[in-house]
Amino acid sequence: MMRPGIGRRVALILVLVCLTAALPAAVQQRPPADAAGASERPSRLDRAERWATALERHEPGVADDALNEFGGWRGDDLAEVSQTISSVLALMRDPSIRIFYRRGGSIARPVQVFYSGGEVRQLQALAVRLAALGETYMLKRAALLHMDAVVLGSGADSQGPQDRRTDYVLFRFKDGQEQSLEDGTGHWDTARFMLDQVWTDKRRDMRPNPSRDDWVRRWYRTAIAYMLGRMQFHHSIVDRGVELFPSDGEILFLAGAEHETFASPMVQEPMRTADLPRNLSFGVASPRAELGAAEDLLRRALKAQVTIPEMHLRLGHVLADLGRHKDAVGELRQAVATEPPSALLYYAELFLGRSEAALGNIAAARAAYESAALLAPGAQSPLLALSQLAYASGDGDAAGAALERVFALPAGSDGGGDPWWTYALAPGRFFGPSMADLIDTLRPEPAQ
Amino acid sequence: MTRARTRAAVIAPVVFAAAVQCLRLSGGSAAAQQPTFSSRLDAVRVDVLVTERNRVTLGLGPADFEVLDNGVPQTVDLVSFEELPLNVVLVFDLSASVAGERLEQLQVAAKAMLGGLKPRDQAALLTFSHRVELAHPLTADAGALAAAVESVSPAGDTALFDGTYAGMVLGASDPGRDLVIVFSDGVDTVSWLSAPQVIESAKRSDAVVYGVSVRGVGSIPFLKDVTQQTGGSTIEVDSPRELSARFLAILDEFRQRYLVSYSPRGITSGGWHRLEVRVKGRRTVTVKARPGYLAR
Repeated sequence: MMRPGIGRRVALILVLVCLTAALPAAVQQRPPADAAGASERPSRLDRAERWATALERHEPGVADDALNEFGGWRGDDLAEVSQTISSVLALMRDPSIRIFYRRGGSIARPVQVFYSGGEVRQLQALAVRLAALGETYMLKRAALLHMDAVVLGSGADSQGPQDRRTDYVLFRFKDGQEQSLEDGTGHWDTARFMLDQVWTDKRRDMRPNPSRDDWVRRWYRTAIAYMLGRMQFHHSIVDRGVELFPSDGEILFLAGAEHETFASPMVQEPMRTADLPRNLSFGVASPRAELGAAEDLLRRALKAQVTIPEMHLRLGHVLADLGRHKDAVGELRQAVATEPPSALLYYAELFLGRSEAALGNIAAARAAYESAALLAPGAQSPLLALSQLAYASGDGDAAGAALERVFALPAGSDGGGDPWWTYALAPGRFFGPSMADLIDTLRPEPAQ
Repeated sequence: MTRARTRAAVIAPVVFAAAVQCLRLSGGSAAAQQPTFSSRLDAVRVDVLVTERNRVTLGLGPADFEVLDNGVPQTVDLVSFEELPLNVVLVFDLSASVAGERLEQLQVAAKAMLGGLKPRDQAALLTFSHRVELAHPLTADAGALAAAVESVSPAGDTALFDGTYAGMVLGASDPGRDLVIVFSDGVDTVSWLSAPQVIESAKRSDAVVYGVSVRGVGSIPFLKDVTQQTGGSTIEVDSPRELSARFLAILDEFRQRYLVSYSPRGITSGGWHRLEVRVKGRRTVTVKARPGYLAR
């Protein structure tokens, strides 16, 4: 699922004010970065040492002081750290090395990086210091550090209003309309860079091979679930997850859900109407192309025989959006047969109603909508659907009666009424348990 | 809705007897004809705006109209003008993007419009963000409705399709002429109903829908489709401060529409009926009416 090359790496952030969980109070009240401190730019080695200190001090999953280190960092600061850590890693693997290269971005061939004699000594000291953690453990902790910087820190991988200083841009929108372009700090990309260096089996593999590491697989699953649950999309992470683990049912499922969301009006409309700079591409294709990608990924996930209750549900929804209602009904019936939790069953019945109606099976559609209404008594969507179904068949009284039921629903503006409003966020529920699992299973490798 | 009975969903054709009863109650010139009917005949009602050089043409009667239903000329039975009370349904987008000056001006515009209603007219306020809510049902109590207008606050996403659909059905819940005014400043992001479903419903409704939107936003294509199907129009404003004048202009224009009724003859029932409405011998006039209707 690799995307065409783009000039600037971009992420897509959707802010659903009423529908997403509120940011932790501490995050909302976080003061802006100290402008004076930000202006004193440390050397690349000093910055790498500060990064190493944060890494050593940070307790994964805890919003501790170590995360504050990144408060005033810019995207190019993190890119510089990645480059320096790459040199440190080279020294950890071969202490005698004196020529350093960097690889990254769109530059296919490695480029030599020059250090002064003093810098090389600093690099060596840093290599010794980080080697004490163990190479793979250090890299994984680094990936968690940068995930925590997003999850527990700013809540978004952003450093503030966009001023074209970095190559990483976030597009923030809500209610279908553009809010801002912001510079990204690049935490997700830094985490990805660290994991790309994971070299678990040096006897079998000639170079780092993160696809052999199950913890890395679970990191990608966790990261994508977070993005879906918070509507903060960084599709290069999703693409990399699929690229590394092309047969992993969970990652394929989550990636499919991402494309399903990309096809929805909440993403398509702002992408269509926003006045964006020409050199930006957010990797969002047309609704049909996104639905096609979603179908492909969800079918691959099904082949992987992973047991996620909503696999058939989401595939059914995608097929319905593609206008293939007969196929959709088949998938949705299977979704119902799996006896999923009631929230998922609600979606299945709601989508079944739509597809049955599209096939002209009005009685079946009505029954499905009524089931959905029973499963979520506060939901307006099945009632509106029942009203429209009656209206389309010429029964104005029934249409009005169903509408009366909509108007009788408890008033309020919170998102608790209709699960349909938060359908796109549903896969985000995997994040919490996955994150806990990641932290629990992060262990230093045994001393060799 | 204030009454349990909802007027026939396939509003056109409506039961002709019901239409006649309404006209009698209005006490207009048509009532003076005292028609009697021994059987129920399906009739079609079409709201028609006739203008000439942007000025409304008044004083037309049944003999002045030429109506083609699927290309077949029909005999116009009745034409009423300003006789039936109005059911005005205000359908307001109250998603987060409306907060601030847009909301303030929207409230000013709504209250100005309520001031323009006649004693027998009714109005309702229906709001939508992601949730569709009936802020106040149809009522002739303009004060109560103005209070409801004052009490709204914006939040959430935009279910424009859901809200528009609900507004059309709500308008049809009481006898009278249905005017639905939909205001939105954004694009639909969260409706359950699809745009084609709502447009299809518009073909079945005899409400006239006017859309008001902020120039350049994504809701305009949908509003144009819906309003075109009902014989209404879409108005784009550059500034929220234009809303009051626009709302009053809509009310004024709607009052000056003719309600043309005929009993379809020589055509098959059911399906989509293409409508053409003309004024005989007046080539310089512009006639605005729904392009057709869906019959059972």
